[in-house]
Amino acid sequence: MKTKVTILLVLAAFIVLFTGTPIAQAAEASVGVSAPEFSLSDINGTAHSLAAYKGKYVVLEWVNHDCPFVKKHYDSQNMQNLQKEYTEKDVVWLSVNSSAPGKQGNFSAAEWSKLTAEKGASPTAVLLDENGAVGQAYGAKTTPHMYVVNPEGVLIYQGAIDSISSADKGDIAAAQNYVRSALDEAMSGKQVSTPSTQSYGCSVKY
Amino acid sequence: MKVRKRVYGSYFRLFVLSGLLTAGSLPAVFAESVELDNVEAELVSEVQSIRPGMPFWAAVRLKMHPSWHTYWKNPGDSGLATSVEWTLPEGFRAGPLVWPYPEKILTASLVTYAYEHEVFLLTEIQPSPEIAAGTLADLHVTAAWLACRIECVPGKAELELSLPVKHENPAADRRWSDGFQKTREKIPVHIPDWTVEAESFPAQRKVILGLTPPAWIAHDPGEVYFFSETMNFIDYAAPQHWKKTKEGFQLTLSFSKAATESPGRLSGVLVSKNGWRNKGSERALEMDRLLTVQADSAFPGEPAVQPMSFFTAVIFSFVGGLILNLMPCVLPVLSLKIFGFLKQRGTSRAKLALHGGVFTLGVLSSFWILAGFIYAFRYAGIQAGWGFQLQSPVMVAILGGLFFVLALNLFGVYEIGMAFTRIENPAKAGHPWVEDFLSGVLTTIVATPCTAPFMGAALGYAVSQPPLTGMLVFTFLGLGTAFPYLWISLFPGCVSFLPKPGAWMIRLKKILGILLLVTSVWLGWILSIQKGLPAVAALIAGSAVAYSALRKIGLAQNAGAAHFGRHQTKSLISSEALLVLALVIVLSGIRFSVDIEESLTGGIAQKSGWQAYDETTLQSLIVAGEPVFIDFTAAWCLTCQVNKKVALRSRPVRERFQELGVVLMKADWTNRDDRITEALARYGRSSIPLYIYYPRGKGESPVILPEVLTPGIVLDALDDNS
Repeated sequence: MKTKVTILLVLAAFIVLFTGTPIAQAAEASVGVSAPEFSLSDINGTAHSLAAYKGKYVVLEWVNHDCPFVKKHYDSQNMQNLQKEYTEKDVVWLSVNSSAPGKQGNFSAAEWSKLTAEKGASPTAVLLDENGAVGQAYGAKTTPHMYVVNPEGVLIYQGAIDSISSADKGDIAAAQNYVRSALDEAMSGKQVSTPSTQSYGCSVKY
Repeated sequence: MKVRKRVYGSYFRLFVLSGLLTAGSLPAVFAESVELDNVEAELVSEVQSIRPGMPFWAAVRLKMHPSWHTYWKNPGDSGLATSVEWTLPEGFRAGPLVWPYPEKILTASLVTYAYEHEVFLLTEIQPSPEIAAGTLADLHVTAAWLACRIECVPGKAELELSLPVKHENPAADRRWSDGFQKTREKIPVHIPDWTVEAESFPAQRKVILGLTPPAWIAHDPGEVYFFSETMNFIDYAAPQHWKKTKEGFQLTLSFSKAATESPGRLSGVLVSKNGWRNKGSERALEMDRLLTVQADSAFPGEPAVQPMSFFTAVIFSFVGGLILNLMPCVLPVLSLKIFGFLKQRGTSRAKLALHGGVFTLGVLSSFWILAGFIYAFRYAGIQAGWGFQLQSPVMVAILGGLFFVLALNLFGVYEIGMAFTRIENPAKAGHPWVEDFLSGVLTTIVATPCTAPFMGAALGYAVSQPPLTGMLVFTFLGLGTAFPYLWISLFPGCVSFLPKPGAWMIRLKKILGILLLVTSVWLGWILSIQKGLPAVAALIAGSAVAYSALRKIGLAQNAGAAHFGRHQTKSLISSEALLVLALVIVLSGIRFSVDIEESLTGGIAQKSGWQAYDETTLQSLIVAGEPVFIDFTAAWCLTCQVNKKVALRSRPVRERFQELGVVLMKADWTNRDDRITEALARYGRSSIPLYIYYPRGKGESPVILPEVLTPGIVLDALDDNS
């Protein structure tokens, strides 16, 4: 009997310890593995989770409209054109703002709606990440900082929007757009040739 | 915009210039600074005139307004490198842009490499040998930069400089001599005497730079920082670890999150605190090396202390295991075992020895399983160390319940022992070997919340080694733990001084039972920190159910073998069902309780003057030369709690901390925290308690305190190193 009780307890301890315990693996974004899951409210209060978009390509764009580098890509219509072109191809485009309250680029939902309309931006949604948790999980460092997630939920690109690091609109035409390359290559069944680059821009205002 | 104004200005200047030329007097240098919102830009030359064919240095000088900065060639986590494009007279050539090393600027969690105050970006100009003396050479540069404070403003300016061409050797332009001089001190040099090797360890996501000085340099370069020019590879914000090795020095860097694979080469600048040749010599060493990729097993680890030898680790683990028996979590179980032994005195020696052997095997197997899990987790990239299972609230609850159940036994509520096994099934006479084995397993399980002296260093060594070597260390730890009982079973004579079993044993059992009960309550307290009161309520409810079940069993036992019949068997079965129910209550309670750990521990840390451990804060404190004391602790670490009570929170220690202005940091490992696991690894450990003291101004040589503290030990450590 005693043996049984001990067996019972010991087994239970080991089983629960090693199988039942969900060991929370620190969610970290790295290319080639599953992108960190998240759920964020957009500026209309609707929640968006990455899991909900399984089966579609998802682009994450870190944005801060007070940053000159974001301005470079919005004033030139470069970002809006990309958003339009790829959302039409059924890509989910999520613009994420991780500016902490009181920091540069942090706006109320109403202001965001206005800004988005003014800029003529057409992302699937603008997500607010005021506590920076999603930004930190992805390692978003700059605005813009771009991520592409494939339909299986795997991160296939992270880094700069294009190949010429500058704040000059004039450089856009000559630059290779890495987001475009990654999406086009992946959609045509090819390996993404440049899966990771160092992003350039203003720091994310965590 | 002032730029545009300046462009007009340049026409104006040309006009003035031609006027002056006709007047016959040749001004030395023409240049004008351009001031944008926050940066003043100017093209400057080290010399006042040009001699045909004789190279000279020019620079784009950027003067930033207070708190603004512009960026180095690799801006780091954010920002943009300044760009400089030359337009020169025919036959002139501009060399590459030469950058002084930058400063490391920390904002939020991001690190950028930038310049504050003022920077000279140098270029060597090779003038045409054909240029005629008596003319003016117009140098033109387009400089574009990004200036950031919190916000960022890009700037761009067309800068010009006109220098007279003369046949004589040019004279220095005194206005900028200082600036050029200071910049040169920060320009990375190539010192061939120092051998630098770069090795990449993709499995650990680390890069190790090995630096070997020539035999004739005995000088210590001091703390070294590596500014990577290779982009998108090194984690700029991660701390870099500089340490002395047998041959020279070693700097450990981390891969950035975004890094996918090792680049073929690694280039950058190594900046030393004291200079590379001798005190006050060049501080910046240029580096561009092939990056060789090394296998997982070649990783030397990165302890801040000298790694111990295998032999020492084995000795330490054995001694640690031995002492583990005296810890409050193991002592009662060991005593139970010895009591059981006393009852068996008279059995043949061979049989007793076998009991001891099987028990040892039980201890060893569970240590091996534990080690196996630790290595498997680490292999899967999950940080795990000794006591990691206590970071799981479920395990804490199970252990809490287990200690409670064991305590009930010691209180005599029910009986564990061979006698009972015989009652249940007299024919079979039980499986004493199974029992011995399981009590070995139990000993290991109850030992896990405790850490004994010597264990920490040995375990730290074990997990940094390939599994096979590590397993040996764990084996010796197990042998040490099993040793006292094994010894007794081999030499029963050594306990002959103990009286025959009797009333004294029952009394001692009750005292030990209280010890177990206290341990159980303590585990409940941990659970309250991890999961909140609902989980503890579930534990108590589960314990109550377990109590009634065991009480029933106990009554059946008291009824004795003679009256044992169908009725009792039935009631025993329902008791077993009750025990399972108890387990279910506890587990479901934990699953459904809320996670409130953060708000709780955060609040506690604030109040007591101990701040939560943070790598970046620590690094900046060390750099600033502040004294720092770090307490690596967890609610489930009993030794830690005792040390805290006895030593760290004692009045003399607290007062001395205050006198010395020591910054107190608490690294709480109660819940899984990879950053803390990593920090432990840097000190060569995988377990707690660990106490680290960085004396004032001695950031490179932390002091490691022993696992068991007294106020005297702490005070000595503080005084000896101040």
